[in-house]
Amino acid sequence: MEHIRTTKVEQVKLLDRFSTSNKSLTGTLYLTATHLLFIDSHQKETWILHHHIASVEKLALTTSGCPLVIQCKNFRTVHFIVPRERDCHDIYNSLLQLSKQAKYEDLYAFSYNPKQNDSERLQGWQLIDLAEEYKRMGVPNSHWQLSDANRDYKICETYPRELYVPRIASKPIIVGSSKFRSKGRFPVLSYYHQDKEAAICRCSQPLSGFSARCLEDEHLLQAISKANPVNRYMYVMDTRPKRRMQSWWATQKDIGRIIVRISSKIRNDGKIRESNEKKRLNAMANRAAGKGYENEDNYSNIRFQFVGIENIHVMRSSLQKLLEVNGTKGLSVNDFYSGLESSGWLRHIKAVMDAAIFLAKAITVEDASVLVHCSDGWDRTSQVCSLGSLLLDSYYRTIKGFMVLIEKDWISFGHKFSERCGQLDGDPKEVSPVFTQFLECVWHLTEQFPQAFEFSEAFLLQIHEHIHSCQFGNFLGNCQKEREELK
Amino acid sequence: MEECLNIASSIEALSTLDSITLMYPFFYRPMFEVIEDGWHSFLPEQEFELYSSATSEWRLSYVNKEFAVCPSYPPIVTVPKSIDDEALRKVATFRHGGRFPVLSYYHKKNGMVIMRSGQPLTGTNGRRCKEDEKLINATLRAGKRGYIIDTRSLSVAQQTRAKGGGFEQEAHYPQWRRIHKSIERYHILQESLIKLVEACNDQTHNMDRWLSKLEASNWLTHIKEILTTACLAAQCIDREGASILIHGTEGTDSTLQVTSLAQIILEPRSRTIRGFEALIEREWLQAGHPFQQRCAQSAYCNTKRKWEAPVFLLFLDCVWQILRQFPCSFEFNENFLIMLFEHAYASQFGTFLGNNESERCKLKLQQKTMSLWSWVNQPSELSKFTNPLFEANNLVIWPSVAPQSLPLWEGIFLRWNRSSKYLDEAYEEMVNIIEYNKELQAKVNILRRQLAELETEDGMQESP
Repeated sequence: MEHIRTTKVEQVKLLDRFSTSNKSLTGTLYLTATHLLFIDSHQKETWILHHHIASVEKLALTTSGCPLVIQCKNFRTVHFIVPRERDCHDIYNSLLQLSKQAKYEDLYAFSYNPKQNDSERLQGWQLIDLAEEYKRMGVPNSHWQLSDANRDYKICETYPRELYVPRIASKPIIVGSSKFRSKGRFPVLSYYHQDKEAAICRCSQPLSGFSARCLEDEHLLQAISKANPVNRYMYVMDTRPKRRMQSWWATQKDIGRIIVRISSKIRNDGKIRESNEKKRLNAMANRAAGKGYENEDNYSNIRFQFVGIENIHVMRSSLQKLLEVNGTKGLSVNDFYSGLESSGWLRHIKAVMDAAIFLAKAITVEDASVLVHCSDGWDRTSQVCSLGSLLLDSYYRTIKGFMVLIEKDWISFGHKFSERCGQLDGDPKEVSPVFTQFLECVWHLTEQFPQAFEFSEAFLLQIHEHIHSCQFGNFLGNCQKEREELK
Repeated sequence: MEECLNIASSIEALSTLDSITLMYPFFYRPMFEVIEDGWHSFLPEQEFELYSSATSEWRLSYVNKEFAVCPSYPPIVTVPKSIDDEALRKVATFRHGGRFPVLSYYHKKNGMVIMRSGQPLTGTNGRRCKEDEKLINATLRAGKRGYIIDTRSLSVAQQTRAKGGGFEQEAHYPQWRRIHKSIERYHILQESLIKLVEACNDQTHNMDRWLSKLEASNWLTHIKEILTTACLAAQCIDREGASILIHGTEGTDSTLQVTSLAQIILEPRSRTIRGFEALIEREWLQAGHPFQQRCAQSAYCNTKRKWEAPVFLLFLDCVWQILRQFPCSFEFNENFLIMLFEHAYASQFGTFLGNNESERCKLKLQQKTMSLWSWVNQPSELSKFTNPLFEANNLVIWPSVAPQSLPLWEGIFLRWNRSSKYLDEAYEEMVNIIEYNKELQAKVNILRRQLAELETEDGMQESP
């Protein structure tokens, strides 16, 4: 409250360029601890949550007053005109402070108090039970079991407590593998397809470097492919684009001798498949830098698939361009389409969808298990795993199932909601619309298959509102461990 | 191999017949019982009845009975009462193709009208025609102004003067303000269609190429232009309360697009099935849109035919755009529009044959062929084309013309590329839900009536 200089300003105009009758409405602007409220002359209320505000801008003074443009994280833009410059300045400063919180405890969720008693509140939290979900999938079973290795977050801080691994994978294997994977995120089960007995697993990139290999990690992947009795081979989907590797390769060219292995040293009838030679070279360069992808010589029975989804920085600027195109008034059709194309947004959506389709096909058509990873295993990996599961399992297309899916693949597996959605005043480079893209992919599916989903577009929009609103505790924080600490 | 070639050449020959009388409608025998003769469903006299009660300023003129005055107009036209037939003959010499200004639409709310014509033949000399000025001035109320919407840009309009055409000079038409709103025509539209169809059939599925190909076809730009002009026309009538005259060069293409779309915006009747059929009869068929020339081959023709242009398809696309933005305001659904598109190009019915009423009379279409409306208006067929969400209203509807609001008409352009199975199923489900809702509503009404009856009975029993 101490940030608010003025709580109430009168005679403020709200510009509405889409309204056919009124170009602007006059009313009163209120600032509370959590919201910005505008009540116009028709008693219509417009509420804007402070957390939703992405940016506030004061435009040049005009004859009618001082314009204030507020851009929200849910893509809403409001344009106020405040009669007096000093009031405008006060509001501007207050909003700047209010929209950027420093501590979690200042977020709305901690002060939000709906009329609910404690038991109802507890019930709300117990609605989604992940253990139930794993049971529904059919694990633990003869091939997969619950591991207690991460019970106290000792192995991986960003993973949940409960992890499912192949039965034949012992604890030393898990520990060894976790040391070999970026941020300790070793391969674990994301989704188990009962009929095909195939699994979707997820992890992060291996820290293979040039010659480092990790027997435990290899054993773990072996265990995963063995856990699928039907098919000998499994896919490893690297969701990063080969282009990125290419530029790395160019810079790493000077570094020492590059060993190009073409022949395979595989003993059993597993096959090695790479789309082209260049990819191998490039990924090798990446390996030189300390991070990379699995060296297929060491891992038998795996097939590689690069699916080329761009990283968070590309996605952020893509969204920026898209919003610019949409926000421009009086565009010609051609400008609109060129703008849309140059933003590349739809291209990214398609890339995610293509990856999910490949995943679903690998499981249903080829009965193969798939291991998905990107760099850190919490952005593109989450998108592909959850979207793939949605395509495969109709339970996730129900309302409850969808909530469970998000809880599992996004919330429990440590997608950094706090940083990606800019909940606190943190690093702007970490902000990226990864989850928004996922929701958009789901929306496209609801458009193409209207009867396959229990929920409608409104549900998706609501969820999107609340990842930014910080009104409820689900999306706060960056991983399960943090959430438990914040209670 | 030889068989294949034979089949190919037979198909080619049969699909490019030059003589109209060899076409299917002349051989078609209807398999259904003809309840209504579509040829007589929408006669000009009937249409005139609809608003003659509201105004006495207009009359039907039979001056074009033998098609002598204007070959592309119907035999009966609506003109201001104060103008006699002799004057009309003179005006016809001043307008392109003899298309003198006639009434297109009468807006009951405020008595304003839309008129359409061909371009005035002012030429380089600045020729004028007093009768023409008198005619259109007759539609103005005292002291009010009118608008002339010219569907060519100013520079194009000026160029036509060299060929004898032109536009209305301000000096001669002081009460009229001229607005130029350019709408493309002829081969530009045809090229647009060809590019669009090519983009839709591209199998490479690359997102960037799709968007740039779509943009390069300019199809949606045309849609936007046409809709914007129609909105402008409707605005003049409804918001400004002024009459308008619309013309392009010949008055047979963009003019008709604008007049018919403006009526869809302004008049709820045009959004009903019969109203829309009447609209097409009036503003396209009888008004002399050269269907035979424009809709001969569509997008895949090998030879570039000079007069081929998807003008009618653009109109239907615009109607679909409005239908999509206002799903509850139309009695018909998308399938109706798709059906009309198909029949305009190839049909077993004679409705869309010929270029104007004169040709149709010569070919004796009414006697020798079946009318499309006879078939469509059967209840069994109509049910396929009715919009389950329709709720009659009296509103003027204003569509948005922002690029974001104008998507590609998948129902036409991607029809054969993608299975619409899931969308069809969802549509069926929607129809079922609405039916079920109606049944429940009827039940509620019955129960309410019963309750009311019981209450009155009780009331009667209680009083001694």
